[in-house]
Amino acid sequence: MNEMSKNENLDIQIYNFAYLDENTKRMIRRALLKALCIPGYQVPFSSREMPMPYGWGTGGIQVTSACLIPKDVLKVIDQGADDTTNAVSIRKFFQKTANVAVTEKTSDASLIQTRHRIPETKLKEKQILVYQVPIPEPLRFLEPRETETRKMHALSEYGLMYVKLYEDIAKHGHIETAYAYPVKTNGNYVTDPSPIPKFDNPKMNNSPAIQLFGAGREQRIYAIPPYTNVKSLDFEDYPFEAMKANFKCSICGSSDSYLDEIIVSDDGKRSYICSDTDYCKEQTKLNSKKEDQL
Amino acid sequence: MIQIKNLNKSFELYNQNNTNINVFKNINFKVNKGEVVALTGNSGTGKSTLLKLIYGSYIISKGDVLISDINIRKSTPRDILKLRKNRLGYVSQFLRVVPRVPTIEVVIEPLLDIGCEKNIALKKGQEILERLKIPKNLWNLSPLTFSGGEQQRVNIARGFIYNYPYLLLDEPTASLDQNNKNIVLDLIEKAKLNGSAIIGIFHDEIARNRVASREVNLEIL
Amino acid sequence: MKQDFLFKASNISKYYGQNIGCKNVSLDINSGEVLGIVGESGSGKSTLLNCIYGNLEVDEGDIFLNDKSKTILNFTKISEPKLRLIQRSDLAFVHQNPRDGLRMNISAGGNIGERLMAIGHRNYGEIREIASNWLEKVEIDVSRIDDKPSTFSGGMQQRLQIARNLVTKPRLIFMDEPTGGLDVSVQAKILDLLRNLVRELGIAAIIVTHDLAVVRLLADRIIVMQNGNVVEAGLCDQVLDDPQHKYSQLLVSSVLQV
Repeated sequence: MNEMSKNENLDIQIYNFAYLDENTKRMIRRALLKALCIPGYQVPFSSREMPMPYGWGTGGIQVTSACLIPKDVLKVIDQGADDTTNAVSIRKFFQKTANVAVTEKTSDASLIQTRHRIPETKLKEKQILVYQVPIPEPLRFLEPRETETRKMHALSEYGLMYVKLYEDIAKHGHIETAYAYPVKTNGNYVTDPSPIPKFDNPKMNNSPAIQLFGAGREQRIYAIPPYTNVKSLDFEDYPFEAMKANFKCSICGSSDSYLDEIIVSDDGKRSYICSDTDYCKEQTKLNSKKEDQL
Repeated sequence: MIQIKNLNKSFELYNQNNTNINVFKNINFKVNKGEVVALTGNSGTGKSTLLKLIYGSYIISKGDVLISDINIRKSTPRDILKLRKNRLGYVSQFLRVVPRVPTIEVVIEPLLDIGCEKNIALKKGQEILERLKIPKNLWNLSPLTFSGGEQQRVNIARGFIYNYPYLLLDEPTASLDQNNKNIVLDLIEKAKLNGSAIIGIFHDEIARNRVASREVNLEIL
Repeated sequence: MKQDFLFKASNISKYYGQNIGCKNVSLDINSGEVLGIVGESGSGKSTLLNCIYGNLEVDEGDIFLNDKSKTILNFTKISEPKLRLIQRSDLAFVHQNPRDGLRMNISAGGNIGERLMAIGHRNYGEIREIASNWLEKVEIDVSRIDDKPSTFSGGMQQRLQIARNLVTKPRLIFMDEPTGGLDVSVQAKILDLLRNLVRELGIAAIIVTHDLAVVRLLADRIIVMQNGNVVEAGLCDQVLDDPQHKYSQLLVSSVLQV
């Protein structure tokens, strides 16, 4: 229902809470429940037209929309940062349509929507992490037919997945895949963790948080319930390694977090800083506390 | 013992005006252990045909062929294959092999088929090739490029490498010079002494006389 | 039912509307045997092969496999997952065109290793070693293990296909014109390879071919098909030397002698 405000612009509208209508939320919640019961299994859902194009996080946004309750505290990050254009847009979208509290502090958030990274700060029980997923099907680049990949999941025919890793080792001497590194969820389905760096994969394992994945264009939802076993695929003699650039953050000095490489001058000088902006801020605070104490 | 009872063979050629060709009728004879029976008769009397009927390559029109207690006409293809592996050998006039397989491998095949270990089989193969005077430098070549006489000796080697209790020989000494003929005849005699029952076709009268215990003339029967 | 067969198809019929793919075909095979299925184009031999392998659904008949634990499985009654698992491990299918049986954009080693990885092998070094051994067995230079099959000749592709299929030591291998489309000299190599493998590994093979020379050299027994029906069956040399049925006689007499 549109209601004209007496004082303000004509185009202020009142949205249903978190934008989607209740029937759509019900449909998505059903898909989420099913997904949680079958960890790693891609549940088809009826993806809606959202006010942003496909490829801009519509899947994640629909999942968040279906999960939000008024007392939620929302954090939105894009490649680890709270202040990129996309993160800011999506955060503002939910502020407008749901009027929820927002934060940049990971530990204060009850729901975190993320694109392509998992926060460095360890997640707790009752936190929900919503991932934006472009291509939900890990086998897609090896087997283009949907009919075949569904059968392969149904029959646990994952030989081809390992063939891809074998080819990597044969060609490069190590497994080349640096992001969207496939994992086995709950010892059963092979799942695409979304394009997070493989450095983040171990965080998915046995996490106290609920992990939800939404792919808007592909119309799939999948989920990993808390404390689920998530193992990255590898060979016995070529075990999985969570790798990152071998530098320290030039702002906070952390050597444990995933780093972004920044070119800081015209002559190509590089600098490395934490990709997770909140984590970097926290570390910096801790550092100055330590200095004060000294 | 091999028993031939009232054996008839005719061919029905359906695509050539349903012509019926009668090869022979009512052939009867026996071959005991340690005997060499030579089949005689002019060309076209069915000597090779008879060997093929015993071996199972031709279907028996009427009558029976008994090898020991096995009735060929009543046997299934599997029974006959088993018989050919262990008990019934056949040396034809032609060398039929897979191209490019070396001579030594061609010769030891019957031993490998009955499960003989490769090393032992190779030794035996070398022995018999030496005996048949096939030069060593030919052992690793395919026999398909050999002369007629050499091919015949490779065929013989393959047929005699294992002591078949029953042996069928179709012109084993054709295309061989006198020396080689004698070597082959020695092999036949040795098999005879070993107790094999042998049926052979020998065009060469001298060869025939040397090894045959008796003759069976298909024209007369 | 007697337990001592490996594989048996009874009264298999497959129809395409009014047309007969194959009708009332029965065959059986044991370990170490080679069965040839011959006939001209359109005889139904490829249809039959695909039916008994489980690729095509039959309209009538049963297909039995005596599995490794001595249980008899009926292909027409077991679940698809179970059938696919059997096809991947206990059976093998060699296509006429190696491109249908290989992944052209995966290396030779990856092609051979795939089946191993599918059944749970997780050691890269081991997989590579097994793949190398098989390349040797099928006489492909081991240095080509990382090359893609698209860089191989037709004969090499076919041999790679054979290696890929045999790596899980299947007990029964189905072949559809295994030497069709290959140069004659290459054919000879493959024929010999097949014969040795059958003898060494004790596997059984069912081979469909229109080439009577090939079947004579490979098969112990054959069946002759015409218009979807079996017109004659028996010992290979007997059917080729003394064919009893009119069509078999026609087939045999039509072969060019060299």
